[in-house]
Amino acid sequence: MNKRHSLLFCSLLLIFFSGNSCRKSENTTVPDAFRVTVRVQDEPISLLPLLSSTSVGSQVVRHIFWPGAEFDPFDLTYRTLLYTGIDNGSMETEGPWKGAQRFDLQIRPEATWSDGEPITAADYLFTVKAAFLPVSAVSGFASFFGNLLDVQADAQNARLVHVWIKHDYMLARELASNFNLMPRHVYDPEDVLAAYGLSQLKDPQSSGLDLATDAAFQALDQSLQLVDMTPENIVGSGPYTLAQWESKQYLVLKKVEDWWGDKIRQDDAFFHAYPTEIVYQVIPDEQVALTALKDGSVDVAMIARPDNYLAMEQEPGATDRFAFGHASNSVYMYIGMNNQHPILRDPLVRRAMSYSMDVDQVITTLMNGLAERTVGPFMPGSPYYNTDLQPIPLSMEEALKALNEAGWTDSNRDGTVDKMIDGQRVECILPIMVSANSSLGQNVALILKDNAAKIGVNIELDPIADNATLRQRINSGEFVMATLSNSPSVGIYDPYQSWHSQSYRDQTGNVIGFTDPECDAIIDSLRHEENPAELVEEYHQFQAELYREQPVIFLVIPEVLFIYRKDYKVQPAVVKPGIWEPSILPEQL
Amino acid sequence: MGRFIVIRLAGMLVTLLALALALFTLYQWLPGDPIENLAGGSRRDQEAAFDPKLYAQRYAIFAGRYAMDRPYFYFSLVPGGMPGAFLRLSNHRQRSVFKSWYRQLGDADLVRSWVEELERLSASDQDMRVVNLARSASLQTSLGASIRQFRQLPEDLLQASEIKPLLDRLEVRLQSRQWLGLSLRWHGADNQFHQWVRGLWTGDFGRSMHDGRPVSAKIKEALAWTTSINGLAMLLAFLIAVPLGVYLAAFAKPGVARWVQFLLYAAYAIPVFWMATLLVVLFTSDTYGMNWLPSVTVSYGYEQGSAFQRIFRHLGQLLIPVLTLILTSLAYLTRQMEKSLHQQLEAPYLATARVWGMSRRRRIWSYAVPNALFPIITLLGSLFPLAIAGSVTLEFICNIPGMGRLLLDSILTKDWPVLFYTTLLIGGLTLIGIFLADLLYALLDPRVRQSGFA
Repeated sequence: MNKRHSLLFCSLLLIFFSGNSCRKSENTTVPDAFRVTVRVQDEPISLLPLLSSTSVGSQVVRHIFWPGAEFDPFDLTYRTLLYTGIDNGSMETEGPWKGAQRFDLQIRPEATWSDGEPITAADYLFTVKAAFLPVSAVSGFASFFGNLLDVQADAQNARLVHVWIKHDYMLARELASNFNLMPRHVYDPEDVLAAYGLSQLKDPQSSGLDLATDAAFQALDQSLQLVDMTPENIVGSGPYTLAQWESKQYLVLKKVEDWWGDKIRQDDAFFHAYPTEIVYQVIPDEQVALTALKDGSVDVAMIARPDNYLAMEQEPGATDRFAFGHASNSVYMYIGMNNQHPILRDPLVRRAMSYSMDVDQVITTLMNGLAERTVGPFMPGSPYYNTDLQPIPLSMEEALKALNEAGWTDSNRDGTVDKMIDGQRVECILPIMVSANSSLGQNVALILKDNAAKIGVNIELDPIADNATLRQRINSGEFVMATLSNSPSVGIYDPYQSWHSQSYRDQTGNVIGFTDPECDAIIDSLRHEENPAELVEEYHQFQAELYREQPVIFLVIPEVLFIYRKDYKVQPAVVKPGIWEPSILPEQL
Repeated sequence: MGRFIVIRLAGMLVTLLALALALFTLYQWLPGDPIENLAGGSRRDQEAAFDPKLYAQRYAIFAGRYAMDRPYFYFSLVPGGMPGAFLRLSNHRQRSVFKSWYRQLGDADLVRSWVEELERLSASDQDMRVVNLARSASLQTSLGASIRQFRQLPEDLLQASEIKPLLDRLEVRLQSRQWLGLSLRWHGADNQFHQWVRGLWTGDFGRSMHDGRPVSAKIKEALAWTTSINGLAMLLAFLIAVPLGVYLAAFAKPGVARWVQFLLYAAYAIPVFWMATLLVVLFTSDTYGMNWLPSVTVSYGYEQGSAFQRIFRHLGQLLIPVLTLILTSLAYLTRQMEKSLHQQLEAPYLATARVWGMSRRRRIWSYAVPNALFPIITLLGSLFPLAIAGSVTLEFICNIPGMGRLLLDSILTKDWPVLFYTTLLIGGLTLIGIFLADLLYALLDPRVRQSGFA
């Protein structure tokens, strides 16, 4: 199953991104030593992959700790990093995991940790088990490993690891290989986790294990939580290692001396790490970041607000000194609707809301044109995106028609439409949660509010002081509408978690409470689809069903914006945050 | 004097404890749950599958680690007969809901039955309306409202859910509910408040809930920045304001005085954030051809080089924030000094000195100025808290990782240990500042010494 997905995915993506991808010229001379300073809005919480949960954390950690395989940041080809290769698995024919997908992963003979120790199967086993330590909860890796049945080190070959994954899991290849390995000898020198089986850690209650009172387990957990973020404690396999971290000021990565990857001549972005130092300069305020760019304190600045980006571009002489880059972002913005809410349970009401949302105004007014409209959870450039679906236009007539069709009329002439639901007259009043920190989210909600008022729907803004509380309310179903964003996987997309009704029923995902039997059937089918062409077709059908049901109002995919010194060459990357720091080079060279 | 110090110190201790209690109480009312994020609850809507069982285990472990599974205070005043286990539930929201249910029913077994029934229905294959109702009822304190909502379900759904007998029992119980009385439960030191305030005398403030770093280390780093900026700004502002005030009051020509005052008030009228932005935008880059001041960012390589180079870089980094604070506070201090000196110059004792033939210079510098400084000293007490708390906007604009930013970050990330001890530290140092100002006042004024109050 994975083979067909991979072949299709890679070939299609190569076609789509080949036009955008601009690689370093082979004739370029790389200077012996140079530093790149990148502005980041905040610092990572941790540099250990299992303890890192923020986007800036991922941005930094990926250059220190490598996964076995990863999507190329420029063309999204799935490439092997620590492994000699990755096939698409085979079906196990015997033993306890008969029928499961089996992967045999051979770690490269050259691959070592930054302290010189070899990377072995023991490190793979440690990382998988460590994901079940409570302290790893923030990363969500344990849930990621839910479909992992077993992992074993080969008895003869210390660098060979055998992995078994549930037979029907469509992201098996990524599950087996796409997570950052951590060195066991550094983070579990006593090999505490060797005493626990994977099944015990996945379900301790059934195996009679009380991890909350298990002293050795808890001690390891706490020791991992207390790891100081100092260079000697950060040992990874990637091209960079931590050189210095001044909290809330800057974080410096330096190229690993005699890095094993330099011995491997591979023509992909991962094995070309040019800057000898990457400095992440923490600057929360965007205006200060722009000033720092002007005074030369930073070389590359990621810019969140399009108006700041454009204002800088229009400053006299700015284009002489700086280049203005942008990239597609794998984040889509949408208005989440609680599909279990008595009013929004009706797809016609949800459609009326979609007709009331002026997405073009969002793009032109709020995002200065630096965003692309989307009608589904796929990137518009992706082969899975259904181009037959036309964005729902702003139409108050259609919105009113849908509302009336759903039985909503202003029977009491108070300006708000109403309807009898479960024997009670209900006025159409819909609170929308917005983050008090996000002016964009608030403005999007205001656009909807103004338009919805024209058809007698009263949208009330409910500002929430912090994002964590907003998330908590959404996860517990205590919301009606909310302005949100999401990042789908850059690889093959499994829609089960976010869109299948069983996820809502099991409380494992689908927080908007979307339940649609047709959509469930498509998801169930595409997860077992054998034919690649059919898979594309089913992704299109899935998207068409979402379009018909309008469980959320899909808005836009914002462009990632960055400004950099003109004498540097910065290629836009497809993965977040839109740049790939190790590929940055001085232009004149 | 001894009595004065004792009264003051005792008052400070009481105030500090009251502040700790107020902070702790306010925190309980804050929305959101920091443990939920630590336990991975915020990943429910992410693309990888979320495991509710694993989440529940982790929630309990983290709540235990941060003492959140203990009673709130040394004692609890609860409805009579309430099980102690309800006061030790790790989830605070669940704790308050369970307490409310018990208050309404007065029957712990019935509360447990209700909880079990809702859990069963929430995870069942029943119609979604039943499942949704069970989930929302588990968060709702009003049992009457939940029962009414279940009763509104179509009869077939209600029958299939098998909850009807329990609803009947709940209704009967609610109708026959009686005053349960109040009972006092003593928890001793095994409570959340004690765990937090204990850090005040053990010096162990624990670890941040956000990044796991020691709270004391985070505060120390931020405090170093804020005190150096605000301390330096205060010192320089006083050093400039005092002679300038003297000049304006005693030596300046009226025309010059008016111009100086106009300029001072103009600087005073500009908000701190605007002043800082102007200085940063105008003077740290070539955009306006005035790249005269160093960058506001603390760049890599900052701590390298000789001690002299490091001090020089450090002062460069502080230049804009210090300048901003001086410019925005100079008018106030100068005016205070000027006004105070004016009053002294018009005092009868100086007229007498003049009659005796004392020179003007001596009258001003030996008598009027020392006495005029008296109210300036009291200003120290009010400025000291500012020096510690920092200015959030200034720290953002000048990219300084000081106390203001630490406080704001801890609020936004619900980093309770950092927030608690940072606020207490600011409160404590404010009290010390006021105490020192009062002490100086008392040393200078015998009337204060005798009364014990400034």
